[in-house]
Amino acid sequence: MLQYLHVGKKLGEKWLFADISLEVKAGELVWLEGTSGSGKSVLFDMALGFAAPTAGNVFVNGTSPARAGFHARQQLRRGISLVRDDEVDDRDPVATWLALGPWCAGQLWERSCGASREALEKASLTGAAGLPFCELSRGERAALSGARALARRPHLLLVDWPNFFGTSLPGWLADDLRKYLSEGGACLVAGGPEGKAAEWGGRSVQMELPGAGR
Amino acid sequence: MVPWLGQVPPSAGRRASLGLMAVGWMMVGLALWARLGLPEWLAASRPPVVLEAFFGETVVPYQVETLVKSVQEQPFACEVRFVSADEAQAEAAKDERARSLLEAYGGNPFLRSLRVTLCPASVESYHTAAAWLGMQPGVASVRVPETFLSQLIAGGQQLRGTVEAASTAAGLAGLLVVLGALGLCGTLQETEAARWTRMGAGLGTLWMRALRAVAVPGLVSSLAAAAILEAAGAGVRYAGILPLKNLPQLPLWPHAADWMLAVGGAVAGLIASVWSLLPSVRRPNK
Repeated sequence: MLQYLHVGKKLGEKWLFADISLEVKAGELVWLEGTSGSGKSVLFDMALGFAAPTAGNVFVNGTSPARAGFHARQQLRRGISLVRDDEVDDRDPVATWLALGPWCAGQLWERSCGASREALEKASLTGAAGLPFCELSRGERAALSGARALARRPHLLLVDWPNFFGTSLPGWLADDLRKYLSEGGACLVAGGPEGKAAEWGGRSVQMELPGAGR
Repeated sequence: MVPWLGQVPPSAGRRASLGLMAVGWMMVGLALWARLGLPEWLAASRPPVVLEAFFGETVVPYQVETLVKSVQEQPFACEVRFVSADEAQAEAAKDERARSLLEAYGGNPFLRSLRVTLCPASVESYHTAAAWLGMQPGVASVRVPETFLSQLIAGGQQLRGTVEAASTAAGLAGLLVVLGALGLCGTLQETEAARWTRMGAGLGTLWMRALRAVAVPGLVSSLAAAAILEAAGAGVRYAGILPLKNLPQLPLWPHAADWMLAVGGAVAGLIASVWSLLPSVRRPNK
């Protein structure tokens, strides 16, 4: 599903990390442990083809996102969902924001709107459908980000949201995540509360400390 | 409705860029108005310039009639009037000082003449018209208001130079404002394009959205500026008919500027929309 083979990333003259090897297989949940700034988000960007490794290779379903052409990269991205707390300024109405996820992954707009309504009902946020997404609380944004990511029916779920698996993870989303994993979906999570890896039955991988590489 | 046609989320930056676009296109439109409308306006605003061709004593009426017809066929002549010696004397007698001189003289010293009013477009080439008149059979001399003409032409050239320089500066400034506003609009669109790209949107989808969010406002604002200026131009054109009599005399709105604004808006919008997509489609750096 997702392979990092001896991957290193250099920022200017300094190595952010070096020689990371990691594989996430179908149905597997992997927790990437590391301090802030250790390069977890960069690893996610590499999987999506937004960053290229300075050394080593990254493969998603056997294809290198950094080397693929634009259309091939977009095909890969349709199979990957990223949950990241970086859309805090997005002023799209919540219902549209939710529907855009599956629609960009190739689903019909009507079906995407249906998934959006379903997610809003599950989150008891039907009344917020017309609100700008950025006006929701952090917890609501996290829950809907997770819902949107799963509505895309991805092969690979990347969670780059601190404490996403914390106490604010609603029960309905936790159930959907478990279902997703049981159906063969893969998930790579950056950090998170201690003990959650064991609770979710995943394994942990430790990132190198910044500057400890080559 | 498909999402790429949907409303672009409002933001302070987007509102600012749309406002600046409108202001910039208005500046460009006003500059085009001044620049393209100026020559016609200058010509129309000029006072009439009259050349007077005096006939010799021996000229017979047939020769006068032939010359009048011949002058009327010339492109420089907008109006031709024959002035008899008596008419010329009566005109001169309206001046108190001239009247006493004429009374002292006794007879009629005035010659018959043709007064040729030059067409506005031929004022600057008055030498050619005067030379042509002077060569006609029966014409003894041609009176040219040299001082008046040289002042008129020099003043016109100075005014034209000033207006052209000012309108060019205003047009370029307006164009810079438009490009800056489109650049801002494109930059704001980059964020949305990046979000959609991350979720796997295809190039066609991204392109249609960029057109909707960047190119369409660019084109619509230029068309709006053209429509407003066209309406203002109609006000100027019909100032004498409509109850708008207090309007200052202005050049007429040049309709070619409508096309210039429309094409400019479309091209600038397309460039800005392509620019907004570039960060999303480029290959990542190592």
